[in-house]
Amino acid sequence: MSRILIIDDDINLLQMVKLMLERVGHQVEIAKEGAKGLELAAQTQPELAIIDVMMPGLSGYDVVRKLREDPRTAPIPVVILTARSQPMDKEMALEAGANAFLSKPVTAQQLTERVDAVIRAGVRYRVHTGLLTEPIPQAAGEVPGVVTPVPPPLPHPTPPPAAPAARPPGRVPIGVEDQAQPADTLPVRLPVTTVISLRGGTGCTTIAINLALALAAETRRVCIADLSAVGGHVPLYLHLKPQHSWQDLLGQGDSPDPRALGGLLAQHQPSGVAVLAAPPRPADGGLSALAAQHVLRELTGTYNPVVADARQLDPAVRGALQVSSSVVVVMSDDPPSVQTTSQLLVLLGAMGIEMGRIRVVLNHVRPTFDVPADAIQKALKRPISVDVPYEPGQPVAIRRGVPLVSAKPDSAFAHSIQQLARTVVS
Amino acid sequence: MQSQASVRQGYVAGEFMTRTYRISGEVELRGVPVLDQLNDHNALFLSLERMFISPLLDPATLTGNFTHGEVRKDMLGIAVLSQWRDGLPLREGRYVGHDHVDHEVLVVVAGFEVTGAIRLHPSVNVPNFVRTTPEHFIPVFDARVTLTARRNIVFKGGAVLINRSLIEVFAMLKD
Repeated sequence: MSRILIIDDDINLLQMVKLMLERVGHQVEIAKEGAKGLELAAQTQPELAIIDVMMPGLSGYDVVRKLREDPRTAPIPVVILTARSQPMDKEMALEAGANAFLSKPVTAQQLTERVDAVIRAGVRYRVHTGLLTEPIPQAAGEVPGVVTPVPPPLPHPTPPPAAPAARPPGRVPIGVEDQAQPADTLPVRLPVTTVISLRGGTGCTTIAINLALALAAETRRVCIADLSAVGGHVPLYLHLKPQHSWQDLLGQGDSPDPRALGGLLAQHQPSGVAVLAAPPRPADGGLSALAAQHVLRELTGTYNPVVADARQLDPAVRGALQVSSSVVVVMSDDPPSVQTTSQLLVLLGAMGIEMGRIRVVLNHVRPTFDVPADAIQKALKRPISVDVPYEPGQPVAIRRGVPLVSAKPDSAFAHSIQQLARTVVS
Repeated sequence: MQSQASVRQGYVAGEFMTRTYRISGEVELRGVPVLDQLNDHNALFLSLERMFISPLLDPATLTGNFTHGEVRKDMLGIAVLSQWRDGLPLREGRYVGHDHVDHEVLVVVAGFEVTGAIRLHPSVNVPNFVRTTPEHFIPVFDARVTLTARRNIVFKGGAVLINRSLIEVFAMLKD
């Protein structure tokens, strides 16, 4: 339970948001205008403030700036909730010092997930759509246009989590078996999307590769990490012959130097996607959960996002899942796949992976239909995020090493992958 | 008889663009969707509540706010609504139906370049429809709007309602 302050001049919305948050156990205070909200924030020191932009008198941006200027209120994380939901509004809100931006209308689930993520991350982090978390640059000018003055930490009811860089280098031995941390104690989510299927033949690697290329087409620097311990196929699909794989990291006593890690990556020239390959043959042992997290953390220093292809639930994949901002569960429409996916979702829940981070993708790998999508949704008790149509050109795409999002960018398959890309990364 | 889904109540928030201003505000529906209010030939102005104004070239900066306001409809270039359903008229059948298809279009209107989909029955010829419909405003769904004079200023909306009388260029992107 956290104490949350809501500042909004729309009394109906104020009451509705208050109710949404109180139902999940938060203690909510409200203010109908910016000046009153600033007073209340200084007096009560809430753990989070939710602020509307469009208010008479002080606008939401003004309120955030004033909160950040006052040392008493500077450590309060802020979520902007507004009907002004255009890209420039989000930019303006983040520049003013907000930690997250939500556009109206908002569902109770979206609101509570974002609120929880922002409280967990603290004032030094921004939480984007898909709960993608990134540190706020400390110095003005570090990121063009960002002028957010982040104050020194003050006493706060919820201690801010350690930044990723706070982990002492060299403490995590690579290849040593260990357990990943419970999800609720993790410091930060990384811009990692783990694509997973525990049943073979569902097109998990195909989805992961096409997703990476779709993201790269949006001028992002993308890396795909093949976490398969039983012989990865990512290089095969891209016609690459990498000299190295993550197997080279096994047995190292220290965390890999970022430069050394960079040397393991192969480059897919047409798309610019970097590839961390899996060993071509089943590996003798695998990465530990902490080692996998360390590798992903290092990769996200250069690449945003990293797409991880996972086809088993070993310690490395468990570690990746816990730090991933989104998890894509790939399934096909045959009964065994439905059953496996249902069990995987239960397992992910038991691992503390919030359902809000998971997207289920139904990939039609055959031209015929088996279990209808409605029946699958009922069986899984959750919606299918993206329905990927059957694409007869898939085998040719693999043989030629040109994934379909590049070979047939106007196909229904490519459109569905682009839709998936939009849902996993904002 | 109207379907329950089509009888909308409450408020819809939108962005209303003239050639110089970005006006954010809420339209009270009272059972009449925004598109029908814009196409009401008997009213020259559209009433907005909680109206906030920004210069179009600095669209994130709020320069004025008003509890109520009136916007002259024929001076509006476009209206941007976040949800595509909010862009439908009361008689939804013209723009929505299981047999309707999306026609990708580019519309240059009042200094904005709008790309998106006009959703019509396949029997309707889209350029003919744009030329001859008696409606002032027509919806373009899943639209992206770029300000021609400042191409880094981009708006996105589930529905963008376009003032037909201010259209400068109209083109089909795919036939």
